Amino acid sequence: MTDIASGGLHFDGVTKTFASRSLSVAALSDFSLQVAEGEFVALLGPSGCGKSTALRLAAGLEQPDAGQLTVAGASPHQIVAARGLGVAFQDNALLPWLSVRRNVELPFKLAGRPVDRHRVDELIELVGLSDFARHRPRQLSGGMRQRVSIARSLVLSPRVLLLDEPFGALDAVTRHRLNVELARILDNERTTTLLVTHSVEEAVFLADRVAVMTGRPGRVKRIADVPFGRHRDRTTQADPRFQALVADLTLLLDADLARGANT
Amino acid sequence: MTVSARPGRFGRLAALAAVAMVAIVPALAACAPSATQDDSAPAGATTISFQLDWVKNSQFAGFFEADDKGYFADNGLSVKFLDGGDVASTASVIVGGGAQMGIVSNMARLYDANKAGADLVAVGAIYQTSPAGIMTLPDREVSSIADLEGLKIGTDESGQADLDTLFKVNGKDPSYTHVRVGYDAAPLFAGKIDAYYVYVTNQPVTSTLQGKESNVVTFADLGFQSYAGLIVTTRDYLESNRDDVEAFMSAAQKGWQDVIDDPQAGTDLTVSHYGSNLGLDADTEIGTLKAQLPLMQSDATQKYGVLALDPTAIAGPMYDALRASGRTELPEPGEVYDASVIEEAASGAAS
Amino acid sequence: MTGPDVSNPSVAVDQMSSDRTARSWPRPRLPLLPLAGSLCLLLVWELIGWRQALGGSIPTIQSTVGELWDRSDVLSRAASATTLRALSGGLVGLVIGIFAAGVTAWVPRAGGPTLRTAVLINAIPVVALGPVLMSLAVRPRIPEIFAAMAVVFSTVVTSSAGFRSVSPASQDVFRVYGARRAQRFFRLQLPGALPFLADALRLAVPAAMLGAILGEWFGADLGLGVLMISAMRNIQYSLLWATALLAVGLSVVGYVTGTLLERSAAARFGRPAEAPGPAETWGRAWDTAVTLAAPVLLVLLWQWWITAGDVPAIVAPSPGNVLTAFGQDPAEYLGAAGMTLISAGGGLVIGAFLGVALAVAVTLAPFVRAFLSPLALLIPTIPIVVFIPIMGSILGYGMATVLASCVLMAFFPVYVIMLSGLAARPPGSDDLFEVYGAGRFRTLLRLALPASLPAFMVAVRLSTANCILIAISAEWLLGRGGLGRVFSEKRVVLDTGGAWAAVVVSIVLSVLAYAVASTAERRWAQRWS
Repeated sequence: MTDIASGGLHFDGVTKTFASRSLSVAALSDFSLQVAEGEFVALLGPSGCGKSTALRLAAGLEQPDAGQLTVAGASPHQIVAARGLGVAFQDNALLPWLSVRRNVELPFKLAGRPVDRHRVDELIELVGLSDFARHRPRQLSGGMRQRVSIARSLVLSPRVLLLDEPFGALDAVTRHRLNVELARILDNERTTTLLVTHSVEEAVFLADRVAVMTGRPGRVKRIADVPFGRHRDRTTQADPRFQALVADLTLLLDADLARGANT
Repeated sequence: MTVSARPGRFGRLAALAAVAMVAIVPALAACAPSATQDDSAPAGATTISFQLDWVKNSQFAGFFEADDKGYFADNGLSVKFLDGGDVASTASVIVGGGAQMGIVSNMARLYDANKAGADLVAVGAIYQTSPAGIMTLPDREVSSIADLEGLKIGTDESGQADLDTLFKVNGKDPSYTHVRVGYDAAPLFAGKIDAYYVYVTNQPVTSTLQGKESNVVTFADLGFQSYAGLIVTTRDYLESNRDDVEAFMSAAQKGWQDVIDDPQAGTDLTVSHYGSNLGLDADTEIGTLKAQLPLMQSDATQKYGVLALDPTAIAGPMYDALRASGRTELPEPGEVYDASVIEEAASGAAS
Repeated sequence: MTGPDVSNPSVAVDQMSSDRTARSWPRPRLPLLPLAGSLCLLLVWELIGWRQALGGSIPTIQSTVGELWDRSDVLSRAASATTLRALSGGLVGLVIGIFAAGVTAWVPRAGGPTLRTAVLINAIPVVALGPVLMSLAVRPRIPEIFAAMAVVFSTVVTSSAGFRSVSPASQDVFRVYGARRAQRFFRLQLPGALPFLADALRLAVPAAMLGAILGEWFGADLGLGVLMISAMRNIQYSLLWATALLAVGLSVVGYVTGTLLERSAAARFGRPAEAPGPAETWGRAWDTAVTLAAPVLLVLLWQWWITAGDVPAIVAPSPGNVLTAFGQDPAEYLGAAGMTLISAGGGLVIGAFLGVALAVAVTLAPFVRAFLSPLALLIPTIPIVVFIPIMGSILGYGMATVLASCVLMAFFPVYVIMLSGLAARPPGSDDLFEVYGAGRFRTLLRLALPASLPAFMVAVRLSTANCILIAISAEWLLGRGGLGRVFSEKRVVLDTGGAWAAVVVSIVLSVLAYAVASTAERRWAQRWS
């Protein structure tokens, strides 16, 4: 096996249908997407297009009905067993009874490994919460809680990082600031990352490539390369190429939505 | 910045309190005196659990006296008194093995228990004359069943059947209005009922102490004869432990004789020791005991001492009353009432 | 949130909501009102006692307090015995309940059947168990057993909700990090459920007290229950009231302690904003099978105990005895069941009406709430069974008292749950109504009342089975008909088969009533959300 095959995240013709008593909904149909080792891919689409399902399949939280799915060269279950994943959800899912530090340490505890105090300190520092390490989540703002969640997702130095709308519940200003910080953090960590979002700006700002999805059934419609290097900051958004790509992708999504509305 | 550490510290305190509680409860439970009386049974003594049919008040003073003065111990017995919070349970407790002996409230209950398969035998009776009676206001005198006809009579849950029997044993159809009341004579004094079914040892005494006078007549005076407070055991236990049962009865007789000689001492013993957990009222207890003592006397007790049974009385008027209550198919009195236990106990004590 | 985003959101939310409350539903300013309410309560009591009103069975305050003083040694001995029994029995019940709920955390699909089994066990009237247990070796532990039984139901319900309250996202995080089942339980579900467990503890305190007192009616020789029954029979009303007062006082102390614990647990471990979802199921067929298995197993166990222990029928009947007794005269039992149902149903309707009316009155006029707050603290801790005899002396022996007992039983949960239901309106809706200038009455009619309907249905479900239980207890003590009466009459003549036929009918009735109420609740909840 080559390095790329073993390191990345690969969906090959993945199909997933949810059946309830009366109707069945095809969330993903023949869905294919390749994320190379160290690459950051954003999965962009309207709500309900199946992008979160793709992420949950990669995390082993759902089982595909058909198709191939490899995460860092293994099945999702093997990678979970090897503690090779990091996740952050829109719901920060912090444990309210643990301090910031204990929340960040949690993956070590769950993996049954000794806590690497240095790594924990480093990450808390990286997300800028060193002064709040002893605080409880309810004493923090929403933005700070998401930073803890990001720190937690990185603490085990995962092979693959899965982010599901991590800033979806925040206001636009805070969200933008955290995007800048996340770009800085991931510039340091260089982890294979799949980000699920419905924000075009966020996708373009963070990712190396943006995969635009259509809904019902969920499939990748187009993949756009983002013409910037990894080092991004506030000036990136002022770049005309950034603006053009955002406008382009927004139009694409809009057309898809309009088509959906007509049928 | 409004970060506060207070809830955390408080939470830890609370958790500590919870842990402490969890730890303390079993410890306390271990130290606490056991709920039943202490069993300092002398070695080799036979233990008899004795199921009462009421809370431990002065109506059982004779048994307490026998225990306190060591009459049971002298006869090689260690007796444990079980409270009778629930009146109807004596028979099933004895049959279930929870007690060896006990008190069944009256003859109808004993009949019902045996009909339900209990196989109990009565070896004595506390009340030679049942304390069941009728209480009226001073302006109403009841001297015969005719005086009760057409009245509004209040009873507790078990009294209605007795009242019906009272009419039937006098050859009359029950012709009164039944009103269900509690253990309190208040409805009588409030004029809601004309007459009240009572234990003459109980409500009339309490009312007198409250300064409310009343007239009282027992069912026996109106022609309904019955023992009450029957001392029973199972046939099996009697056959295999007859000596112990005799020993119990003879000690109990001695205890009761002491109470008859000095009712105050028996009351004090009940209030301050055996019934000390009940908050009993001393005036009420001596009053009820004094009302009870005359009811414990009969021709049979003159001959064999208190608690005795009289086979002729049972076979005669008492069985008539039972039949009047609708209880047919009565067994031979000798099968259910064993008068010989107390007769032998009495002769043994005399010798 | 643009600045250095440090703030305490929960405090902020609290302030926001209290601001809003202050605007549309003015809060009372006077802390004196609860005091005035307490004084009023005492005054009414004193007046009744002094005038010898209501049958003369209510003593004055001074004679009750005098009794507390004069008999302090007896009372304190009784109180410590009862408290100890309530604590140890309640603790056992709490542990059993939490354990059963813990099983549902490991096997979520067992949740439905576990809850239904708890409902079934809760439907067994303990007063019927007492006489059976009296004949057995467990006799000295009857108060503890009753205390445990009284606690189990609310504990299972509350703590299994706690285990379900953990957010799905947290569960996902644990799964992605490869957490084992045990890790998920001990690191996530158990701490997440702690506020609910504390809540269970708070509810358990008065329940355990009530259970212990009831248990002491069956042959104990020390305790508050013994004192009550002795005082009742010896017509010592001052002692009866002093004992009841002490029991209520102890319950209040326990309840308040539990409330503090619950608050601190909620502060430490966080209470989720949303109510936990319904229990998972295996699908209809399996679920029905597992649910039916519980009563079948119970009957088999019962038969096994009778056969293996060679238990005589006079102590306890076999299931066959019970069936035969029922078969001999089904009409008698069904007729009695009808009467019990009328009392319980009537009590529920009247109690619910009063509860809603008072909750509305209190919402419209908050000073009434402050005025009534002492009563609101007392009522949930009062063992209602204790007051049945007292109500009997006021209302007489018969259906009126039975009905009144049911009214009391239903009234309180409806009042409390409605009060929070009326306060919980959709976010922003208050402002909407204010912008459109809706007055207080219109807001109540068009917003608060409709919004509180789901809460009302919960209250009705919780009260239904309890009303049947209390109706049977009241009938047993002083009724003139109904299942409780049939039970009592059959027992006096030691017809245990007949007595238990009445008990089984009452259990079936309670379970059916609960099922009907919870189905109705689900239907309404679907329409309302």
